Amino acid sequence: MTLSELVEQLKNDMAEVRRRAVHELSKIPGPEAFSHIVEALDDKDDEVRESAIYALSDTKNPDSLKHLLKPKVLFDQNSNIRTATIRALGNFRKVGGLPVIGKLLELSRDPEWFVRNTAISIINSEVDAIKAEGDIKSVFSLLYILQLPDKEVRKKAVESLIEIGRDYVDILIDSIAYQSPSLKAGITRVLGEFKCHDALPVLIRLSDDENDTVREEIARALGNIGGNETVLPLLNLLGDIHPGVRQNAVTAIVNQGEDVVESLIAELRHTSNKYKKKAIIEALGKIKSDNAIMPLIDCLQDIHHLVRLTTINSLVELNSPKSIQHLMDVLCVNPIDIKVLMDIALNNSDLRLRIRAIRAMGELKDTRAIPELTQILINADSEFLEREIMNALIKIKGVVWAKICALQVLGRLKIREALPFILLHLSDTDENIIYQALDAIKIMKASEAIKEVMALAEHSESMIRNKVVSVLGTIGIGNPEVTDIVLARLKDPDRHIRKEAARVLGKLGDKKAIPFLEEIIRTCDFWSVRRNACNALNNLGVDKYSVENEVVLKETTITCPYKDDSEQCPVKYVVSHCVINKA
Amino acid sequence: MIDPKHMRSMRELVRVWVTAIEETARDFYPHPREFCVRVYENAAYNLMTIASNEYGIKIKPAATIKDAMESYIELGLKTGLFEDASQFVLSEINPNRIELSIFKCIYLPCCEDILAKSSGISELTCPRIGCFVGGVGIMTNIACTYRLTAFDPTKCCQGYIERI
Repeated sequence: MTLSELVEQLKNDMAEVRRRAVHELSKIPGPEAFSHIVEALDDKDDEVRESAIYALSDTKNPDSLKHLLKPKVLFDQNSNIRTATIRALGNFRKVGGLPVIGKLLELSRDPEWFVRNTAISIINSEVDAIKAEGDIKSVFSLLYILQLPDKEVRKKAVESLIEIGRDYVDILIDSIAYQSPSLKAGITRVLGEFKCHDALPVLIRLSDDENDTVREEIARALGNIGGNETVLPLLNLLGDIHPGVRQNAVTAIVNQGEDVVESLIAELRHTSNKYKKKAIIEALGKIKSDNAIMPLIDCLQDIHHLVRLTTINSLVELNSPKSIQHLMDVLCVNPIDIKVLMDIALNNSDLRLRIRAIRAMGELKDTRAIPELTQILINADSEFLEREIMNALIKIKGVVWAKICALQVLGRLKIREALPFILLHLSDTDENIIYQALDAIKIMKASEAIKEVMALAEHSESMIRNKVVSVLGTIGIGNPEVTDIVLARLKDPDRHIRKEAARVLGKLGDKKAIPFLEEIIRTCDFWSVRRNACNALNNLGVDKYSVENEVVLKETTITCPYKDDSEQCPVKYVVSHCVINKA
Repeated sequence: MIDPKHMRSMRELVRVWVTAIEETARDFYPHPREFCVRVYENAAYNLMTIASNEYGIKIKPAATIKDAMESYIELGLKTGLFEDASQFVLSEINPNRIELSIFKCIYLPCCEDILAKSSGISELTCPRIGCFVGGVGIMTNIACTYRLTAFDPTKCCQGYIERI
């Protein structure tokens, strides 16, 4: 078809005819055909306009770009037209440069997901192309792309910037002042990868940026660049409110190695922010410096669980002979007889002497003083005395935590040399310390501690008796004395201990337990105790008992459908004290 | 219909307080479970009392652990505490042991927060199952124990309730 025929068809009333004509015009070279395609951009029909955009793209005429970038085309009401424009712009990447990227970025925020998606995928291929070419002129395009909401594309843009080389770092340092957080974060990442020392002043200035991602990247970059100037901002970032920033700051400061240990220790002693303490302890644990052992051990007394737990994990990670020795020192028992001090604190008529004795007990950090100090606190008649006792108790309580945590670390590391120190704590006045010592013995499977453990079977605290039974189930297998002790616990007033004793008897495998377990099934009120007894009997070769189908009985609420023929009843009511109303 | 924005802030309020209680329990006690279990028991009691006394929502009487849990879930639905009964799958292994799966738990962010700060799943005290156990105890007088056996924020949490 000739040009004039096609131009004639453009005037046709049928949109389909006009659309085809536009398509055919794209195959005819020359300015005249081109101008008719441009005119078709104003057609009232959406499909004709869409066809005109594709036609402009097909002509490969550089002049097409200025028409495609017109707002009436870029922001057409019809989303298909906007999509077509994006695809067309993709073909003019090289000639278009920055303006094209800018418009694509605008369209990547389009309300229609399909339009956004197309824009992002075009930008994505643009980044791939720039990366392949490695042209420094594309830096500005990449900086534009760093403002895109799509993370993957931004990541690619950062990779491309790194690949292009470091000749353009001045441009990056100048561009970091722009408001876009994603641009700042991207540039920071690149500067960090280049270990660009010149960028330090601007990066440090940005370390209190309001955006979390920017601060995360700042922490990472400062870690990559390193040096004395980065220590202070990194220490500040360790206390950041955002966990991701703290985590990056930990990694960054760990990279600096032994040199920062002193600063970290000083900050640890100074700060009261538990999250900052946690971050510092993590860093010290990873650096594995012996200088950090004592400050870490001090943190075992911290009032916050988070700090104590992190310290335990760091000390487990550290696992050095020196740290083990210090942990065993924590478990040292005060050899001084404190009875005289306690007597003065309780009974002396001179208040000043009482106060001194209380202070001395606080400094000795001896848990044996807790009951007496608590007694004085209850009867205290002066505010001053109360305050002194509280101070002493806080100091002693700190040591209780330190001992509990030290026992946890030694138990987790299975340090057999620590066993004598652990055994000393089985006679502590604090039940939590005894519990933790028993737990350490259980984890270590220290059967040599069996006598000391058995001696606690009648302890006044049910928590300890329960733990003793549990530990005996691990370290006492094959010991007939253990069976007798556990059998005695089947009559413990605490149902939890009876339950645990029944379980452990099944584990010990001593057939002597069979009649006692059978009796428990007949007499115990508690289902879980009876269930454990059944399981234990099963382990011992007696399989005639089962309480699985037993139901919870309630007087008058249950009517047995089998009436007096209880043999037929599938439900076994074994609880003697319950009354069944058989209608 | 509750405004979704308001609903979200209420959920965050739950998260803020439950996490704070759990954290504080760990600050003070080496074995915080007993303390937390008491908190959940009191929470279940408060829910039942407030629902009944202030809103006239009565709880169905129950004789077994499963009945009690179903009544508690019904109460939760009536009070708007739970979105849908399908959030819970109960499986009665025997009348004394119920295994349950919990989907889209309101306490999930609290557990995630606690997990980020403590060492493992064994340290989680599960406010959801804890409240169920509290409710069962109040409704039936059957003392129960419970344990969380699986924690998977992407799928569901699992655990069991067992008569003592």
